[in-house]
Amino acid sequence: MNGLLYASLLLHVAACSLLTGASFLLVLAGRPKDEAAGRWERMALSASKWLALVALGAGLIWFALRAATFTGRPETALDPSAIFAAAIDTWAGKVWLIRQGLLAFAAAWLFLAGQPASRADWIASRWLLLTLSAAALVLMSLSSHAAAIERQLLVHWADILHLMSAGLWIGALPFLAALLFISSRDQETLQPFSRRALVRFSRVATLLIFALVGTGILTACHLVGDVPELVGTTHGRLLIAKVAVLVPALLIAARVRDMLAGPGSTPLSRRIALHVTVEGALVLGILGFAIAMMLSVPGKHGSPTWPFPIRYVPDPGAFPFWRTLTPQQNAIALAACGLFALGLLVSLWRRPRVLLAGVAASVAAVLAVLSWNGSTVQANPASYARSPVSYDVRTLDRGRESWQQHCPACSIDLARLPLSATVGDLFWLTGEGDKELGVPSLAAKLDEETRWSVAQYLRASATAATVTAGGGTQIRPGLIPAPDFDIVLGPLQLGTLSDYRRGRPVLLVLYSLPQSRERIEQLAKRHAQLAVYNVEIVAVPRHSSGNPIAELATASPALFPIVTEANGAIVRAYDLFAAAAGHSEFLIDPRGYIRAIWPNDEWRNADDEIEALAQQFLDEAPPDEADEHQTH
Amino acid sequence: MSQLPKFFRVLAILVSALMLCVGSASAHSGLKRAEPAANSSLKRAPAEIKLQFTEQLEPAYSSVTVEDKDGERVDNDDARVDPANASLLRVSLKQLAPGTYTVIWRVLSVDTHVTEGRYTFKVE
Amino acid sequence: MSQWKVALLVILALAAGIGAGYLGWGATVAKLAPEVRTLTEEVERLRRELDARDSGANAGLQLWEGIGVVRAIYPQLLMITHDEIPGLQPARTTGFRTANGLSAKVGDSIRFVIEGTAAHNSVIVAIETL
Repeated sequence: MNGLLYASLLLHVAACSLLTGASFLLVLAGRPKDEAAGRWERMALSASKWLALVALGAGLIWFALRAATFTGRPETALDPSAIFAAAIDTWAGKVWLIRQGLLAFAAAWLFLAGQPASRADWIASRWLLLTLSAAALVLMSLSSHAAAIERQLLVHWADILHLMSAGLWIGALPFLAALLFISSRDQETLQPFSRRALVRFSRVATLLIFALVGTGILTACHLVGDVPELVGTTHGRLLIAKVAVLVPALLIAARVRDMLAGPGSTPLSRRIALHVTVEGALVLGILGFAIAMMLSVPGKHGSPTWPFPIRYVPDPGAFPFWRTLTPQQNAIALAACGLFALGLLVSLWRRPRVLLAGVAASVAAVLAVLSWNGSTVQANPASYARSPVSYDVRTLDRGRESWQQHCPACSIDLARLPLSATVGDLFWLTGEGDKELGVPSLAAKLDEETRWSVAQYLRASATAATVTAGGGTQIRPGLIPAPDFDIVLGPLQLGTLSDYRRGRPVLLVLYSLPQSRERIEQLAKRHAQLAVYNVEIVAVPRHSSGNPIAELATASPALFPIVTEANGAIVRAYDLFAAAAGHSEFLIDPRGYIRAIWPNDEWRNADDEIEALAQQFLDEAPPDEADEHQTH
Repeated sequence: MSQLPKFFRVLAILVSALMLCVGSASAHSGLKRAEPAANSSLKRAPAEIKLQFTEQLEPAYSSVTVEDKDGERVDNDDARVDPANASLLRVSLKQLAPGTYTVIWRVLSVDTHVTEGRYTFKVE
Repeated sequence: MSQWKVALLVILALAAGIGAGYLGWGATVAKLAPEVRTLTEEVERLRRELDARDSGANAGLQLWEGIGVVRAIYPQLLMITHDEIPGLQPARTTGFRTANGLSAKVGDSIRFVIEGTAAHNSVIVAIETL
């Protein structure tokens, strides 16, 4: 079924693109001046008739198959009323109806309108065709991946512009080749009409390619996200394939421009036609990859499988400027770089030595910058994989239990685990085992979910080991994500830690009575003052007692949340980070990382630091999607 | 005119080649967050299930049901996409007795992809 | 009619039709949405007043029920952390006036009934320890 879906969508989009391209080239070439041009125009129009019908038919088949996936029953594909209901009830269906309507209009015009009588007639007729087919092609982006996940207007418009440029360029190339072939049968050298069409197309195509590359990079940044997703997911690899096929296509286009621009040249029409045909075939291949991308999971939502044996890890604190950019600014910066590089390529194309030297120099510069600011470490396919279990205290508990059960005698020195190890690396490690570090292979004994829990536990322990070794209360951002937990107060479920810290810092207090009574009283009085800095306090008793709230009744009431359920798991998880048996406090920033720990009596000096840090958090970047997953 | 069949030949070759290399278009990952969380154990029975997805949903073809261990429906059959948040799906529940329950969901996102899944949670 | 006139008419008709339909639909939804919202709130308020009247309260008063935990006790006032009370206020920690004779201990989980006209003008009239 998937193959049929792919084939019908590819046929539909290819036909729409070719139709758009044909109309575009007809407009660009102008009214036919000689006999060969007239023949070509008639051929293009008759091909357009068939293309419109193919687009309509393939579009219908594609949507019928899609409607079958909506309902989950294959018979829906053959039931007209069910297909119509699916079209009316869904956004994608409505978009499809409008597009089929536009295509039907275009087909009707092609079949029914006669020969244009005057110049005005000709202009109106061709422009109408172009408008209808371009609209039919471009409106598809309203139901694309970008429309479903992105809320930023820039990405939507980038997607629309991308579709439009792709359609105009891909669709026009075969017809351009046809024009050149047809005119070459009369005369070997390039005729004025063909030459004019070729030159005009060449100029517009340059703009189209710039638009394609710029908008392509923008949408890719938003749908794929980062390098691991680019090389590790099907979506990302299809993108690489697209770009790989684009490069020779661009080279051929440059060669054609050269052949036209050479001084005193009268190039052979047939020769150019062959070049354009190959270019056309290549870009149709790009279209194939693009359709496959439409049918696959966007890279951002997939779990990447790293294909190389090594990976690059930037030093902590490296590239500080890059880290202050929001993802949107990042995407725009990358698109600008890409366009700049493309511009350089285009202008230096005729001086290959300068070009090669420039490329070599920039590659060397980039490599130098990267190696100055980071290093390569050993990697495995799971290095960047997304953990299916979330990072919370229950997972850490389960991980600890399984680890101690299956490896009680392990004396693994957690501080020896490289700090750059991701959860995926540790998952792989527990699967394969490592004699040097003393980790057994647990693949046979535990299922994958439990192994992920063990990996999360090991990662938390490893980061904790480096923190306690370092000393000092403040921790750099991004190092220790705070394990999530449910805040349950009696019969009330007040939410999770991640709900509480969204947009504000949280001071987590693990307390035990009677030592902490003084501090709790102090915090109760200062609660309002800390609220000025938007700091919320969450208290967790170390012991499970009958009624922590009644126990904690102080002279000034403590009105911040006090966790009454599952506090054992919370205490065990956070004790990993602070070797304390009595009172300990953790300041968690709005992005979810532990930024300061005050074990035991250090709370006496904490308040000024809390306020200073809370002030600092206001200046830091807000939480983004990467923090939500917290896989490092 | 004889060049037309050539283009379609090229197109046909490309289509067949690509049909062979494209793997199955697997379902989207879909579920971002669930309340109550998967495999969680709750003290108090929840009043509704809230499922947050990565993509915006089509209300007409997105549904979620909750069953108890005998397979009986324990939701109120009012699964709906939240009007304020197009990627949030909610369904209200009847009063749940202690036990294990299964949440079964099947959603259609705005870019025509269907995802389905299930998970369990416990009420103590 | 010459072709270009036909073409122009077609494009204008399409643009006008789609544009008018889109704008008209948007305008209608924008007009109806707040109306629907106020009407729903009105219906819920009336339903609560009806429930209150049925349980013997005076006309114009509403009854709400909430679940919470007592955090602090003052004369005639309880500080309670409570879950969302539909129609009154979202989950928060706040104080409520109590009717005479009602009391609770700090740390109790309670189900309580509030009677009044609005959040700032209401009194707890019943407390049940869970």
